[in-house]
Amino acid sequence: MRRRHLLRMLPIILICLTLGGCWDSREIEDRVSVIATAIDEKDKEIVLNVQVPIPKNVAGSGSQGGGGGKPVQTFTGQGMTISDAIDDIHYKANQRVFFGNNRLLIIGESLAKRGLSGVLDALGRNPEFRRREFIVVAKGRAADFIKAKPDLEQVPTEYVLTMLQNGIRDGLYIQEGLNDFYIDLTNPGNQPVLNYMSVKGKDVKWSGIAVFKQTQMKGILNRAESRSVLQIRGRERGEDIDTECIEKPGMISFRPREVKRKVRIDKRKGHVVFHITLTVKGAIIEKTCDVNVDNKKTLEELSHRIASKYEEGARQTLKKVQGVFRSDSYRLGNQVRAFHPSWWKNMNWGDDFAKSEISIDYKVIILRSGMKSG
Amino acid sequence: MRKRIRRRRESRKQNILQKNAEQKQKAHAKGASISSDIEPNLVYFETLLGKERSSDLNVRRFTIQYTTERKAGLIYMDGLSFCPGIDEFLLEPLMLMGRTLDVKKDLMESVMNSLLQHGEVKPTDNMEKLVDSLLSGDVLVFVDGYPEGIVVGLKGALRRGVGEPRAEAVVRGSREGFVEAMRINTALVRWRLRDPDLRMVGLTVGKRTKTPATLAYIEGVADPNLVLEVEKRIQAIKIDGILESGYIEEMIQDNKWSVFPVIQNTERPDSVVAHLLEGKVAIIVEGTPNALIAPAVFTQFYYSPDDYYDRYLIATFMRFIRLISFLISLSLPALYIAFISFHPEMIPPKLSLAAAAGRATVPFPSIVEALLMELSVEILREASIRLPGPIGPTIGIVGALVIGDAAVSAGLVSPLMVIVVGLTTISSYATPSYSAAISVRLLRFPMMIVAGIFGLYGVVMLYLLILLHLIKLRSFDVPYLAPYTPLRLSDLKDSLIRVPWPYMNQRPAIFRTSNIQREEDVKSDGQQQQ
Amino acid sequence: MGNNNNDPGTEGTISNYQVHTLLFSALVGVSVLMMPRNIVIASRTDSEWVIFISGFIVLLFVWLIGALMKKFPRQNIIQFAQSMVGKKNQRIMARILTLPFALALAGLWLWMASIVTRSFGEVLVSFVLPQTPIGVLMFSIIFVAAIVVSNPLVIIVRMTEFLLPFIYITLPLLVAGLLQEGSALNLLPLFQADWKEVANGVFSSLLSYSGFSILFIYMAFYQQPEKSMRTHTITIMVCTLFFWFAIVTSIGAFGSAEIFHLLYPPLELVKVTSFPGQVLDRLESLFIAIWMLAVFTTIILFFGSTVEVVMSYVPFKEKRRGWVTFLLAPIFYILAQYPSNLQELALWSQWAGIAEIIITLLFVAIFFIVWAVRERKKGEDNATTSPS
Repeated sequence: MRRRHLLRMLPIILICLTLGGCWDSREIEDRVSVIATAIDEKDKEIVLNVQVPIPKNVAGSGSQGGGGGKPVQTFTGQGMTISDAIDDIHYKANQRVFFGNNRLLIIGESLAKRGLSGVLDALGRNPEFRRREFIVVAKGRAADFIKAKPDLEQVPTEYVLTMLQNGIRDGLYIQEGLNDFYIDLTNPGNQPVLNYMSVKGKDVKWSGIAVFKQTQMKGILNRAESRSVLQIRGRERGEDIDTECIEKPGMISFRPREVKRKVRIDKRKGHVVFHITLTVKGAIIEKTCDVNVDNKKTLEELSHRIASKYEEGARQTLKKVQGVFRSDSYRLGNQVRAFHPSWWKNMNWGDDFAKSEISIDYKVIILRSGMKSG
Repeated sequence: MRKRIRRRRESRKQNILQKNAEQKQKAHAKGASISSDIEPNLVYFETLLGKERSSDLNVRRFTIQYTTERKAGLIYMDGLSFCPGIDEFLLEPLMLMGRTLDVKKDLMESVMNSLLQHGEVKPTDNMEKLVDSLLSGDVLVFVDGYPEGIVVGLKGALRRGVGEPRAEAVVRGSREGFVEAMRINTALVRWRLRDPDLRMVGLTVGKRTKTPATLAYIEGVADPNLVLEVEKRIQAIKIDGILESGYIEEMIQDNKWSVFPVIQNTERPDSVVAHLLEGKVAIIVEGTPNALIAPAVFTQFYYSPDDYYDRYLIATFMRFIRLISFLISLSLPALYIAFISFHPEMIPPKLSLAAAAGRATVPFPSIVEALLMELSVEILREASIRLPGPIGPTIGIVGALVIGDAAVSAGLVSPLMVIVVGLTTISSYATPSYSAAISVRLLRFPMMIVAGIFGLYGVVMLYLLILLHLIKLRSFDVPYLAPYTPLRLSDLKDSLIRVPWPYMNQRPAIFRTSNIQREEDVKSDGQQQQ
Repeated sequence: MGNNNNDPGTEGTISNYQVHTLLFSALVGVSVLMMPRNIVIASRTDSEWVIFISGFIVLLFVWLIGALMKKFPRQNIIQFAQSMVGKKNQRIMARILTLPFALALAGLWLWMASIVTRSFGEVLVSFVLPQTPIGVLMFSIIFVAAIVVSNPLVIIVRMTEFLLPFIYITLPLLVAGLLQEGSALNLLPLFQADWKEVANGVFSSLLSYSGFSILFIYMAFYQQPEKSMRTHTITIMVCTLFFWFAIVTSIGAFGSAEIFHLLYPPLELVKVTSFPGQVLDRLESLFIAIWMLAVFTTIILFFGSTVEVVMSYVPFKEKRRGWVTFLLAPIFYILAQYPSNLQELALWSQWAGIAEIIITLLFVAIFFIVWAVRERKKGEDNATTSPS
């Protein structure tokens, strides 16, 4: 009997709910769905540029052919805080701006140098922003990124995203999304780094990594300099390396396939000493000189050369990171924290990193030399 | 004016009713018992059935050449009885061979022994029984001087032959399906199950239709309490007519308000036998090509006979497919609504772009769009069943394609919605049982409505309520969600995964079978009988 | 846990496997989202083993309850309290004496249910339905819970039985997240916390186990109370492992420092996990849906035991259960609405946890003492009467 009462009540309740309800119901086409957000500063104010794809103009998705008009629209907002700037955009857009599909955050260089604490706080509190987002630092103004128009993809952000995804998968770029950035900030043994990208006309280019000390950007490591950071920090393979041939003019190109890292930690006179050994396995992919690479001895000689080339670059980078930036981009402090907690307690890694001694040794193993012999 | 006509009509009706009643009463008064005189008996039947107004009633008066001419009568319903047989096996001997009889013996005995040349011959003096037999197609024979009638079982109504089951097609397995004649159906079962323990209890349901029904079970396998309970519930049915087994189903099921079927119906004799072997009972009803199987649990509606005929891996895979299609048909439109209008961040960006583009021209919110499309699919489905013969499927497909395409190009619905609706409809047909599929189709609508109010949260909440209902539901005291809850590990052998036959050597325990072992069954039974 | 020979369809009893699902569902609810943060704040990476200590303590509590309840088979705490206090002619006396117990338990469970409901609402509002008023969400969940609870307790337990496997589905999600984002370094160092930090960790995680006291009610329905000890032990172990898993995956993925800043670490972990093939762009939808089931089972178990306390204190007829439920539902709703913000809610849930532990210990102690006294009296009576 009671069941029947409930059955009778159910439609009434449903009707009540429909009358008052649907608070969160907002159709997908009624949302301005942001795909990329560029954050800049201008006269101590935040300037927000958001890129919104126009669904019906993006080819393949429209029901009426599509592909006609321009594929994206840009909105700009300005304000004292991020939320202020978002509100500013709200007043410019005909529908609610929705960040749930945002995939890329671009930070202007000058803002990054001033510090990102405010930006990160706003992003962390807003549930619409996901932690899986890509975040990069732009050379110059971030807004230029939003306006770049590569030909390969209709939506420029898609181009940058694919570029980042592929670069990270190949081990060429640093793997640091918003989530990693947050984690590196809170973990005192780590310091965040971000991919640093530049745009010129239609071309978007990866031009190194931006080194942060906490939320503040300290400087840039260019492509060659970033190699050792990539290898030590994330065991990524880094880009190909060229070295001079043995005794003969010409070059040899080596492509790393796999990097193994070994860190030994000691303590000497109150300083932490790191012995880092990196084993790089890879292949020769090009040679422009007359050397027989089938010879075991030559190969050994070559691998020594490549290793010393690596080491030289690594030392220069280390000098810059330790001396100029004074920020642990290698994530070495995390190892101290994990394995030597008693030392860690009495240390202030922010200062102590610069004082620690770090030695980097490379061991290169040439696995093969391509499809040709000789 | 009109009032007067109505009044006149009313009074005429009353008159006729009264007259009929009086006549019947008179007949009853006279013929409540069979008189030894033949004429009153024949007249009784003529008045009872209304001779002038029942053209299919045939009363034949003739004489048997015995020592003297003895009056005799033969009554049958034209069309229900086997007419050539009546002429050949009854009338011819009765009319011609009377003289050959031994005069010393009693006429009645001789008639029974040598003149009625048929297997099923029963004399009775119970008038009611005679009437019932007549109306179910038997032939009645009366001989003057004897206060009893002879029932000759010459039923011979023309019936559809055994054909393929239409609604429960299988790739591998028997092609025989039940027909309307109950006797053929019971034979189809008995032919497959040559077990002396198979019982077929005859019951009659319906005050006016007096529909015969058979309660089939295997003694020693089915729970005796279950058999008693089913029998009790069938006998307690108070209804004037049973035209389909569905009447019985609704009259005896536990929770009469549930959306879900708690008694299975099948038109496959092999499936009935399989269920009987699991310790369930089957109800076969005259005039219905669907047998009922009770008790039924939720999962049983998602098992097809081929699950047991095909190899176990294929069967398991098919069951997974059906589970997925069940989930799709129940919740895909609801999820579409939830994702499109509540949580677009959960769809991959490219898809969300496509969805937004597709919906740009749609004038309705997604809930209205979905309800509209689902409703039109339901209309198409209903119409294609009603459409005559061969054009049905054609119209259905053409209708779906043309309307769908036109709706998309007119911008009334988004292409994604058409995909969703198509997938949902196809999925719902992956369910082997039509009655289970239709209830899921029904539940889809409240699902869509809550999704339109609360999004994903609403969907989960409604799922919980449905779950509660399923948990409370029982079919003849078997929990509907068994063997999952309450959990029965031993019964999981034949659940989502079907293990190979050698390992399914036990009957499911949830049906409280009296004999859990499948293969020891025969042995122990044999011992019992010796 | 296995199968038992008794008929699982038997009305009104709880099989061993159902005991497992019931206890597990009661303990794992909202707490699985909050617990990693609470314990990590107290004892950092050492939480990875500290949780086992609190698991053990909870096991002790459950053992105590089990030992007490076994003395009174087929009776829940209120029923045997009443039968203990007075003989048949002293009904009113019994009522008055047991009132504080009934009030304390009913109040505690209703309070706990309301805290769970409110936390649930808060998560929903911040992740899934930001615009919907939390009152409406809580109303709907209390409404649905009330519909469930107006059924016999066994039905509630069977709900948990059906839903439990789905809760286990979250484990692979967490593992996937750990594999994608995690680093073993984050799990180190171990054994650095001093005893104070460990104690804090034990204390704060102990509160996350809240809910074990409902055994005071549910044990009355056990099919095999004598086997309950084993089932309880296994369940607490499984539950501890589940919590441990949530903690380890969270720490492994985020590091203990970042967890300080995360309200719901496991949820965040699932949020950063990407699903191969990109079918669902955000896995947390699936996670939240499953988690909703876990929370719902917790709510119905707490609410159900509240209703049962009332039902057995004032022996209402079984068909009045619906009335009692729907009369209690408004109180439930008001309690859930009461905390003004998340901070207050956190404080509440701490208090509720403490209250549960105190009440459990107190009741077990009282009833054991009363029971012992009565046994002795009985013994004395027997001793005095038998010789004469």
